[in-house]
Amino acid sequence: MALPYAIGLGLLVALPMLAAMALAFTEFNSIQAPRFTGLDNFSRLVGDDAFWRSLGNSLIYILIAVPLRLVAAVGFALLLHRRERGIGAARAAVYLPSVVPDVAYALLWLWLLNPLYGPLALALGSYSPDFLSEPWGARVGIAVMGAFQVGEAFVIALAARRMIPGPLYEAAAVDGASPWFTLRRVTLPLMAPIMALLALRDVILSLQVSFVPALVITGGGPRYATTYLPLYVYQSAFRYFRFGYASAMTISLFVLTAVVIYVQYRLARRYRLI
Amino acid sequence: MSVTVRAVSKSYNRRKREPVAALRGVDLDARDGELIVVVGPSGSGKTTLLRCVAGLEDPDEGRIEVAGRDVTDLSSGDRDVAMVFQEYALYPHLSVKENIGFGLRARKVDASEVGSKITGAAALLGIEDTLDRRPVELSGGERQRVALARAIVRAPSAFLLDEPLSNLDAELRAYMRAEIRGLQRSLGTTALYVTHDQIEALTMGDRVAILRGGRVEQFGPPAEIYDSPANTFVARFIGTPPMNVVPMALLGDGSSGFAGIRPEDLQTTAPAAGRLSGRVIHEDALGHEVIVHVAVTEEVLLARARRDAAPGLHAETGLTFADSDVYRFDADGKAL
Repeated sequence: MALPYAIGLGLLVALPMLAAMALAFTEFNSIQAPRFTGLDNFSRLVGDDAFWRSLGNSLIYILIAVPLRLVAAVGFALLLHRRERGIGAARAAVYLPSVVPDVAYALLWLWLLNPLYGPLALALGSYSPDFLSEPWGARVGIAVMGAFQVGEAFVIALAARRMIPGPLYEAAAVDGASPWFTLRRVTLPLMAPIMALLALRDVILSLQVSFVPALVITGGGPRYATTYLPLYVYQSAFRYFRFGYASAMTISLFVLTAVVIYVQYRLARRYRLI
Repeated sequence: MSVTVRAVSKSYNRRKREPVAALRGVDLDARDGELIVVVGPSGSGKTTLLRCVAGLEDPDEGRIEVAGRDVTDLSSGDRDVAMVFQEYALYPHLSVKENIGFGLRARKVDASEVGSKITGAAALLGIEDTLDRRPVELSGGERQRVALARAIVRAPSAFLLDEPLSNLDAELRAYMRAEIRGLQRSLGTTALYVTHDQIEALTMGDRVAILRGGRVEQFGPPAEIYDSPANTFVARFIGTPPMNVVPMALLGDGSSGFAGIRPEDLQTTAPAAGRLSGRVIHEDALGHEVIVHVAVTEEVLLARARRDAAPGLHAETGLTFADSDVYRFDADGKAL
């Protein structure tokens, strides 16, 4: 029964991964055959300012987007956990942006943030800032975009919230706890393990989901502010035909992700969150 | 501090169906220092009543007073009551110490006072050694005590206990019955205690309220409930085994009502010597005695018999009783 999945996994994941690992040690432009160059690509990475700049951009994106997405997912879960009339429609509305194709979603935001005829510009009039033409405006804009695509995290956070037994809240109410006290001392601590896992997952996702918005909306600008590592990999491979170099960067990205996940995991274990 | 419930009614709406009346004009009062047991079968409204007093449900009609104050429209936290839940509702991520002190911290009690109150409550319940443990590391009995400690630490006007012993084994339940009763007496705090267990009702309550279908069928001291049941429902509900309630005609009385005889007031004898006779269709051997189920025409009567005097399964037997032991009820089931 697992055979079709295994075949797919092999053909679509394992094989390309192995190919990328092999290409990382070659010079390959897709026209001529790959030429083995040993560790040249990796040593070039060390001195490549554009690589370190894009790595820095990716880390900035993680620092802004992950907390924002976590707050959004948990916030929506806390607002929409009760069984009430119309709650299904509200939950669907929260989930909807996640099922919109990435390119369509990015184009939508391109229109929303347009400084001339976007809704935001029309609403704010002469006070409308041009987010996308300023480096930090573009960085924050792309991070905020991602905060609305929290469908999966929202569903997980919702399940976590609903798993907290109702009598705990009744006990807190009889004990005279205010809603804020209950949130701080009951809800958030009990949801903390799930939030830790969501943060872990979101760090991996953030290194990937930044690709389409940067490609479609800002093209990596302004002044390389939104050239994230996945975009730089893409540009190296498909714009500059340096597949070997791009593969080396992909390996670096993989290692970076593994390191970040390991650190998070150890912190979560230390604080008994998982 | 007294607790008064006046004409409280509560219904639950159901989608596309008739509303369900959980409470219908319930009147109840607990005097200062009393332990009132509210007992009844599942669905009788006893937990709904307790939740209305606690402020976890809003009654549709009626009034609730705690310590002479009308609390009907007040939130749970403002009613000065403490509740012990059936499943204990201990916070799994907090230690025993933090669980007990939760309500004090929520009310911003001074930190120095919190510590001494927690220690005092823990000592009263004998759980000082568990203060740094979490609920998952405790036994059922220990969790029960932590839930009680959390209730008493606030020194409320009233305790509300929702079937607190239902998750314990029989032996521990018997022990905790005495413990809770002793604790309530020593603290002198008024308590409303909900249970479906009639043994708890009879042994713990100063007065007992029996609920059925959202109404109070009878409210009085345990002895009064047992000796003078108000109707056939109360007569059958209180007493183990339950009272035999049969048509008056079975006893040769021409009236249209019902007669009640407790199993302990029926003696088995030779078939010809009994006022009633029938066949033993079932026996419950309880070690020291046997409960015999005797089919008399279309009725089945239960009688207690000593183990060595039991007639035996499928045997014909007679049943004798004194007229003074017969309870009489009218055709509607009300005591005459």
